[in-house]
Amino acid sequence: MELVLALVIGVLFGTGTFLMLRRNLIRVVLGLGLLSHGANLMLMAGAGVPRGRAPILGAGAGAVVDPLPQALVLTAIVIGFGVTAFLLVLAYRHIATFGDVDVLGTPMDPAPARVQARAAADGERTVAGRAASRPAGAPGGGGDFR
Amino acid sequence: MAFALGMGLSILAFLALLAGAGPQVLAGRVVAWSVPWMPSAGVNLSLYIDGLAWFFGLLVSGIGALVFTYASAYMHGAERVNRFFWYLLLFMVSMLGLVLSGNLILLFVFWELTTVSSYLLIGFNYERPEARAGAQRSLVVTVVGGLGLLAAFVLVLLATGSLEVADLLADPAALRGHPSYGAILALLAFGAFTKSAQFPFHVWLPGAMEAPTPVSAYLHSATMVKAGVFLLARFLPLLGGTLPWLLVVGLTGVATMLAGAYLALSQRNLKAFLAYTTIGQLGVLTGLLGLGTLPAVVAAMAQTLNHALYKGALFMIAGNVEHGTGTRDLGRLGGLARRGMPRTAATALVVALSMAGLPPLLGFVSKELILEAAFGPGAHGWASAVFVLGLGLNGALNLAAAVVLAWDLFFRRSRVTPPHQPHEPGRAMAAPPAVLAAGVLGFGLAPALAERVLQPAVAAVAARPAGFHLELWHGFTAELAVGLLVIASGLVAYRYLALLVAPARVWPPALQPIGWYEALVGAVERGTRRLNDLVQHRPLRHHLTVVLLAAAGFLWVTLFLHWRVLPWGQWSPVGPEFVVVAAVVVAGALATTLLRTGLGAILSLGVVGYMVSLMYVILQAPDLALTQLLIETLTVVLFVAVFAFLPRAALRWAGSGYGSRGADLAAAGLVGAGAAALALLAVTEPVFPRISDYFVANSLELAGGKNVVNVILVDFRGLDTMGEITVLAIAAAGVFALLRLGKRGSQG
Amino acid sequence: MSSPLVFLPVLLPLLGGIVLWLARRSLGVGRWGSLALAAVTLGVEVALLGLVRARGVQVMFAGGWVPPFGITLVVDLTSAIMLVVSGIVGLCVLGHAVQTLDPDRERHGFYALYQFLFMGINGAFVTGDIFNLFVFFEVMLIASYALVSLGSEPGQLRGGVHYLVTNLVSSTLFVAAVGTLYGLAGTLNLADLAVKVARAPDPAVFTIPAAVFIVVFGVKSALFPLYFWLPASYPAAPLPVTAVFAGMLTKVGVYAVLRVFSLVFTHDPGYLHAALLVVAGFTMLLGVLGAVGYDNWKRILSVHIVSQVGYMIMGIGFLSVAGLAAAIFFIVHQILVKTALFLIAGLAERATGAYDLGEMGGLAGRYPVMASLFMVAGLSLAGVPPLSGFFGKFLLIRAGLAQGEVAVVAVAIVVSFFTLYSMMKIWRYAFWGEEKPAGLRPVPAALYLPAAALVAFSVVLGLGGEALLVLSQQAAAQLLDGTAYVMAVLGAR
Repeated sequence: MELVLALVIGVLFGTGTFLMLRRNLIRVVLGLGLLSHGANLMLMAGAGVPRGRAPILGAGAGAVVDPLPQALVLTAIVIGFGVTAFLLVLAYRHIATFGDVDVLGTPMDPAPARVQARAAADGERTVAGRAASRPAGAPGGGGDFR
Repeated sequence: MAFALGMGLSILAFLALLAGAGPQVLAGRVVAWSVPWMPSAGVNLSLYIDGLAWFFGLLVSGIGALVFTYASAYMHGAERVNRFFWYLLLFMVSMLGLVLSGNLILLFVFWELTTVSSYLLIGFNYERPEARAGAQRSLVVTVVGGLGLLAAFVLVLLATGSLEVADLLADPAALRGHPSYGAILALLAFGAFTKSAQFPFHVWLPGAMEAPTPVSAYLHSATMVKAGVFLLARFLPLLGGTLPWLLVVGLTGVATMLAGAYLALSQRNLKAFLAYTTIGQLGVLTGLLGLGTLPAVVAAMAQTLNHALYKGALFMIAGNVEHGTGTRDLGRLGGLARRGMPRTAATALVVALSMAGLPPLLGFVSKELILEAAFGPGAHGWASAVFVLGLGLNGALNLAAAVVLAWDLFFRRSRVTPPHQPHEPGRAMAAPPAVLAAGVLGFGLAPALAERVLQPAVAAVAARPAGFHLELWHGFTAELAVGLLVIASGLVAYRYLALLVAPARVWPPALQPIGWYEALVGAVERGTRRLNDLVQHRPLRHHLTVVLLAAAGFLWVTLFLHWRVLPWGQWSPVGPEFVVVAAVVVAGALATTLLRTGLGAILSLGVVGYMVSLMYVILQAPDLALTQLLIETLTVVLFVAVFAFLPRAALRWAGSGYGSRGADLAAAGLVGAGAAALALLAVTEPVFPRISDYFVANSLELAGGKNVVNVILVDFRGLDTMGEITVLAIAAAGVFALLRLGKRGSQG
Repeated sequence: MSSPLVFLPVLLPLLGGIVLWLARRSLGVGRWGSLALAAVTLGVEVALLGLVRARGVQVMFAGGWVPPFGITLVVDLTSAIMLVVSGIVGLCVLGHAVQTLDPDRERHGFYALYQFLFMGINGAFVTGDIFNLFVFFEVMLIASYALVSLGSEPGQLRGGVHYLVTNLVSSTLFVAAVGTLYGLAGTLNLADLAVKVARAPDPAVFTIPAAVFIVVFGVKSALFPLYFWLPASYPAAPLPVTAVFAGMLTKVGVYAVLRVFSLVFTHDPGYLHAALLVVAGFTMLLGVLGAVGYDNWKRILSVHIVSQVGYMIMGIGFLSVAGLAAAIFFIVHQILVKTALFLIAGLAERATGAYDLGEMGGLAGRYPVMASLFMVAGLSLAGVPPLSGFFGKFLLIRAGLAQGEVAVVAVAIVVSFFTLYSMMKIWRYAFWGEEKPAGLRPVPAALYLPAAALVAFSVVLGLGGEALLVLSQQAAAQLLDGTAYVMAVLGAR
């Protein structure tokens, strides 16, 4: 059982990693989802292989499994949901603003031309002397899609 | 206010040293005083006035008073003049603190403060690009040296257990025999060399002439550059007398005395000309201290006095010349004695003669001493030849420089016309250099007086009561003969000056230390920009690759080194239902990765989530399974909603491929395998009893709940649950703000 | 010593945050209420420090459950020092924020999120439980995610995604590492973990989760090579947000390293702490070189954070009283000075409307106070005496050389030069030169107050550093010994 569990966790981490390294923001979020499933299972694995029944007292005799990791995973799941929800909305705003699911460079980039055109709506200044100022809402500017 | 404070303080310090500490020091005693500052770090506010500190303290405060006087007139009507005097005050106080410190870290504090205050002073006219660049250069060079000095002091502390100068001098042999002697010597000498503008760290000193002239007068005579000399003198009894000391300090001094004196003659700007002669003289002082014999120490102290007096005066005269003529271009100045500046010319003549080392001035006394030291019994025979040659050549070139300053500038007939009709400065600007000129004359005519002042300093540096005698006239000695030879060669050098300096004029900048400095700074500026483009200005996926590979790499190295602790072999039986569910999870995860359509991938993620929920059932966690089911449903709905609300155009993949899949696959494999190994470790039985046994045993009795997981959540670990709810609430608040703010028209 | 006071630094921001959220439409309540709350919290934290100094380690058993079963909150000297510093930063940055923030952000929950952020920060400082540490990390992070993107400007969105995704990876690894650690030790309480790791028949097994924790905390505290998210996201946020992040967030990560690697994982310093030293060296160096390569005030300062974190990790890596004391001293200095520098950047922005050094100049002429504040803070950051940064640096160098760690100390020394170089770059272009831009605006005196207060701390900590040094040494001794902490939590067992 240990090996199967480890394998599942390994696959979840591996596929999650691969997805996170995509340029498509939605896939990055999907990858994080897989990764956190893997992490939750890892936390659950801390309980060891189940040698008993569910930790509900009075429902039968005999040993029960370790209840603590279950509580921890529950907490982790809920926290993870909150964060994922926020990330999703952030991704939504990101995609809506730049009109592209491509994860753009960082705000500090002297970005490639395609990105620069989309980011022009920032009006934000890059390193001295390389001011990328383009009137907001100009044709090709990022805000056109909303 | 700052002016009054500075003036008052310098006079007060001078009198206090003279009258207060003077009798003690002259009697060969040390005035010491100490209060704890950061005793836990070994740092105390200690005062240590021995002969050396006393001598330097008098120079700093005495010349300080003259500089303040001079500056009061020179800076009259300038912008930000109050700020100027604050900086100057800080400069003086730091230098005074530096020489009087009895604790190495305290000394370092003042050392760095001289750096900072000189930076502010050099860049005082900060609208000028040259001033900014000069200030920056002085800061860069001296700070680098300061860091070396700090490291040296820490090593001294570790070697001897004390930072107190008194403790160190009490056991002068302790450092010489210590294993870190070499490192201490190298770092300390580096610090001193940068401050004292030794070759090739002299690059900052010519740029420092951008400071207002009173500052230059001070910086070149008694402060800043003399700090390095002071430091070497302070450590001579502790580190000197060895071959490494002679090689490092002595040879650097010789190189500097030649380079400085020679390069001075090629300068066209009066202040730059003076700056390079300073470098040459700093080389002489450093070289003498490097030689380290008693005559060398005597000569070094005498020449320190001489140089402080004449160089301070020369810079003030340079200021007066510029004030009177409107230029400091040597090509446009000449014959000023007959053109309205006779009094300035007289002062200049006196100090230039002392600079040249001619009788009856102090410079003659010290030059005789220098030659005596060069011929005197050194520790190593070959050193004598090097020093004789170096000091002799320096003397000759220096004499040529003095001739330029006195003869060309003031007395030789000249047809060039300065921008203004030359005129004498006011009294406040004429008096300070005259006082200094009187000093070189007075000390020259009454060498006994100089002897009295220098005696304690020499005793402190030589670490023994020094018996020496200063005289103006030694009789017909070998030194006198060599001295005459030096004068003769100096005059020859002056005669063929143009020929002599021609190589320096055409020497390419790339082969000069200043060129090296510029190249280095340029390389740093370009290199760091390159570095940022290379590592920082990257898309998210590159940074994530680095993070994930680093994580997996570190985990794998650790696993590799601790391979034996991994559990292997005792596996529990596995039910078919678990294998089936596991297989579906794997399939779902792969589908999420591979499916081309967004919706398909999202739904696959949902399948994975539901299967994970089933796994929780099999792992005997029903509550968890339910929660997972609920949360997964919500997540999928959210995903789909985001998908639905976004414009189709935005979702269409327009990117140009995925880049290198190979690296991604490698990262995925490493991370996945690492996680699997970690999971194997997690799933083993712990060596110690689990704390959860307590929960099972006490859940019903103490907390009144049958469902242990629930009891843990709401009771045993209620704080986690509180945090969890807070996270949800904050996420909701954040989402609210995210959706509401930043739309067109309401841009924040 | 059991004391409910321990919980207040968490509870006050939580309750205050709720109230401020509900009253978010009212700017008056938001500004004055949050200032008052921050002041009260600081008061509590100072009182707590006094209590710990007088009576030793303070604990609180959440829900009354005895350790190691329930969650224990523990405040030793290190925690108390961190809490006080967090209180000072919280108050000062808020003092800047209420004067500069745009009403839109204020009305959309800035003050509430700000308090929640401090709830997470303070929670991380007081908790004595590894999973609870994760929870408080998440509280802090979710609040920071919301703050970094508050306003939804394009730059913020891009930086926000970068920041969020990287930190989520680290959070995921945190969960995995806790799972492994629990699977091995069967406990979550830090004191209990310390005892069990020390007593384990083969402690080498704990080196593996410890390595994962280095990565987890390494992302949070921006260590090499995990720091790239920081320069990518911090400069995009509004200045008060950047300032408080710069001051506190990475330091929570550093605190976690300090706590966990001086209390729990001390079984294999030859590998774990050696790794920390290597990482520290690269972190210092790359951080400062990155900073030198920018011409924008906010960016230079942001990248600097990375470099300075390296110094702290170096002190922790020494794993000696001298090293840890130096690290604690340095952390305190660094938090205050770095925050001050950001607030001064805010002053310059108020005057010039820019952060780009190319767009400003000659400020020293018309803003002498601003110039003096920057000069002092910048020199302090670079470790020029007699300011606090110098003593931090001196103590670190001394601790390192005493242990023969020449290489990493050499790096630290070189880095401190580049630190000064980059500070002087700001000085040279912003404060020197011809005055520009043309329409310089006046800066209200009240806006100087928070920055001046922080700069004053640096001066005081330099000239009167003995008090903090003694405190740091006591805290370090307490950390390294561990028995006081373990005894306070687990009792005499």
